[in-house]
Amino acid sequence: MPNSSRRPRPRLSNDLMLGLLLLAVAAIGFSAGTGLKLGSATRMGPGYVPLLLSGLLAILGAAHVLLGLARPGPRPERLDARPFFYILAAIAFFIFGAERLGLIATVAGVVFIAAVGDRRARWRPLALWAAFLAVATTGLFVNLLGVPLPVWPKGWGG
Amino acid sequence: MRILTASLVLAAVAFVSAAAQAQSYPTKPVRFLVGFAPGGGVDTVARTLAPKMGEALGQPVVIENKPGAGGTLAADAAATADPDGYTMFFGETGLLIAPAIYDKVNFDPIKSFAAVAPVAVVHLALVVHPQVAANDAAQLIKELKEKRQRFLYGSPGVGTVQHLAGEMFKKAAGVEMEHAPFKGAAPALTALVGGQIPIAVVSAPPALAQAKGGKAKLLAVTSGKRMEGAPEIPALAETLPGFDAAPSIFVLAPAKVPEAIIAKVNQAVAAALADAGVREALGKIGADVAKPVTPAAFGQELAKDFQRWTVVARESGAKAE
Amino acid sequence: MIDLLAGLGQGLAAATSPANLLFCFLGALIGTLIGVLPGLGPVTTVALLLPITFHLAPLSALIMLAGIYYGAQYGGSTTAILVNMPGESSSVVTCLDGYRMARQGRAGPALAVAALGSLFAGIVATFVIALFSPVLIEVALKFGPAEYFALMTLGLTLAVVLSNASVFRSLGLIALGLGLAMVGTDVNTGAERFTFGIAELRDGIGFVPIAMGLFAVAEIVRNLEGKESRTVDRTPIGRLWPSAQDFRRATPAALRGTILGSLIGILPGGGPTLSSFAAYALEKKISKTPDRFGKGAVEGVAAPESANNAAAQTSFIPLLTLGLPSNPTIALMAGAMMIHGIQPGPQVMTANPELFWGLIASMLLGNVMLVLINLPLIGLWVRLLAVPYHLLSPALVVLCCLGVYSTDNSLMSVGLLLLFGAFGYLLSKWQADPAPLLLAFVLGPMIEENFRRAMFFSAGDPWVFVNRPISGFFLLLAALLVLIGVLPAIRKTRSDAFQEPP
Repeated sequence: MPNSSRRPRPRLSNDLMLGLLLLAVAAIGFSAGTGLKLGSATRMGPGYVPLLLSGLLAILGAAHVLLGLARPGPRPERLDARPFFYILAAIAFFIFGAERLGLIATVAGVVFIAAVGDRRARWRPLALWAAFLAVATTGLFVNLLGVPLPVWPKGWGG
Repeated sequence: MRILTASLVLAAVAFVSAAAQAQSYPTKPVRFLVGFAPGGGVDTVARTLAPKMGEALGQPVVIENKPGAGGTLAADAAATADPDGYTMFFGETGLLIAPAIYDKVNFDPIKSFAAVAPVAVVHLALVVHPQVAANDAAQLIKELKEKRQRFLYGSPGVGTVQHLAGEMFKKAAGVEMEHAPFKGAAPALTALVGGQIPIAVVSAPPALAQAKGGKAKLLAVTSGKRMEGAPEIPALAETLPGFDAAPSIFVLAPAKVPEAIIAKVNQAVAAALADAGVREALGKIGADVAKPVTPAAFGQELAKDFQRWTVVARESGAKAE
Repeated sequence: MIDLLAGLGQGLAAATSPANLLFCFLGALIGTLIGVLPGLGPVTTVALLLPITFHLAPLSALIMLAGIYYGAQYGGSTTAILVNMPGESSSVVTCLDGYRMARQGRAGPALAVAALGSLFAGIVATFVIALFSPVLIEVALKFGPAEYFALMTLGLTLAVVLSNASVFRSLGLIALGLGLAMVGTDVNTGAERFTFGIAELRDGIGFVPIAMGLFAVAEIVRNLEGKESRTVDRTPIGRLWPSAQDFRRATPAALRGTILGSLIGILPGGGPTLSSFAAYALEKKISKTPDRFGKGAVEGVAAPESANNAAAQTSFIPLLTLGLPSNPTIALMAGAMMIHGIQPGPQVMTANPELFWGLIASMLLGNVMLVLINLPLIGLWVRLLAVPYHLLSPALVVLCCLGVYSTDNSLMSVGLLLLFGAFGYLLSKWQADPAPLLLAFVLGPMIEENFRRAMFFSAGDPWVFVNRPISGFFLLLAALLVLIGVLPAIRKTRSDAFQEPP
């Protein structure tokens, strides 16, 4: 599988992607770290180690990019947008709803959004499951463990 | 005109209902924020007080931990909470130091809050490794002045009261030591016992235990007066008159909470602190209970402390930059 | 020696009183349950239960809290194996082979090996505490910043060895992990770094959101990929008990893991985490078939699980002998002692021998109870995997969110979970193993802190790292590992990169 897919012109490869990522992080390190003091070898400032590390990241990143261009390995696997989007959307909904809508509504929402990411989801059992999870997690996290999240939407009596 | 009347009526209604609210306060559990993780010093004090305060208020007191950024996250949350009296805040001296240390602090320790009541003073200890010759603070000062070698002192972190106490000691005694910050009291004390550093400023109870076991020498507590639980240990003020560096724990409320509610909570804190069991429990963790004062008097005290610590923090150079 | 055994006898007598047996069981049970719940760790639980222990006898209180602590190590491996969800930094490595085993329908044997390995390690480590505490603590006290730096560096070198990917790629991921660890307040100066004005980042990125994001969330997304969901061909449950071959492979691995864990656990800081990584790396290095690692090798479960449990146990040594807690959970136990009027310190062993020995003896009992609690549960856990994945996955997402939220009651942490979930999925697409990244992330702050402290103590003389014998030895070892590992890898071109599981 590896060598059969070689092609002459540059293309995406795992090394190339990782290298670009490292370079990006190095760039953030260099730019956001400029304001930090370097200090001396005895009393190093907060910027000393980040600078060293950004340099290391840049070197490793460049090397990965070069390697990826020179000897392209396997192509990165294709992303599957559907589960990726919906699972992350479910987490985003939790962030949006947890303190506004209360836990019952939020958990139910998270369950439904996450389930859209699964092509095999069936809706009727899911509704029951969402109701069960909403009640169970509320009982466990709010009532038993005292996690300070509202159970009902804001402004509903309690 | 109509708008003015309407708003006057509204304001009057709001005023009356606020007064009524204060009358019946509290009608539901009161939430007290704590800026540190469960089990920390402030949290332990808060949880020790909570049941008795709940009894005094007639509603449960719920301790809610919002740890992070040296307690400033919880302070932010408390400063911006609804001023309905159902969100209160257990603060500590670190709060007064934060504006001098952190770049961006969203609250003003005095203006964003209404002072409610002082809770306790926590004692700190000046400890040295057994191989350090000094047996009391005066001898240590002498040794520091004589010897031209490097002396390092450990603390639980940059900008902690322990660190600032060390800096105040340097200034008051006219000596030189270099600050070695650690991530908390236990690693600092471990380094002292292991002989990595000769001197440390940490909270008194663990230092006392190491001293009893012969692994360290406790020279003095850094407070203005001796500790109630261990009166045999001198206070640094006896060697350096006027020296007083000890963190305190107190209760604050969001700035606009009605005075009547503040007074009720102030009473509840006083009631809890009067309880023998609470006093004993706090004594065991090295905290001496504060004398009850009115919210107004405490507010003035707090403002004075704020000025004092700001000056100390600035002079120490412990600025996050 | 006789004294110590007599002490242990006295402790057993104290620990087997009906009340103490009950609290030991309660602690083990609670620990298992919270270990299984993602996010909610022993620190939070012990803190929540601390006020309740005011009303108990000091020994009962400590026995229960200790049970929660090592019980959580047990429980943490359960979710790591079943759903790739490491709740504790010490169970990250267990994901590597444990989860693979579960995917192959061998969840039962994986859980059983983890439980039995932990039992064995727990018992051995208890004897280590009873017999060698005074000696070991002397060694631990010799550890200054230079030694810690050298040890952590050795740990990172092991992370390179442990990874399935090429050395070169692991280095990249380690650098990335170190970079993420830079976020937050600098311990040495108090300066804020890379927080971008977000107050919640002042304490750095939390471990739980990054670990759950990279491992659990990324894995959920992967499992839902494609028209034909991967879960369809999930192997049926299979046997619950390890085979004779499993036992043959796991036993020596558990033994080595126990020794490593007992030693590394004494050192404050990343004890259990570092030891589980080190044990895994050691097994892979000495295995005749290193290819099986990362694909469901039973040694890859037995070694780290034994190591982290042994380390959890021996991390009590600094508290018991010196009264100096070595991690946050144990610091809470020190708090519990203080509340009962026992100031943890060097004198506890002589002043409160019943407490000292009672706690140690209870660890023996607690480990047995943990196995008794956990072995019957294996059947239940494994049946959990039979829940259709389209129902399981939304539940896991909910648990991830709530678990992360409950660590610090902050939605910012859930935001980080989201971010690292996305990031973890991308990494998995690029065949990059998140384990070295996570180890570097855990060790990074300690490496920097100790490096700078060592330089500060030595007044800027870099030779401290070499001149001090323990530090010099660790660095030499690390250099040797790099030589053994890197040289052939460079020569071998890139063949390594293709050996990863698809």
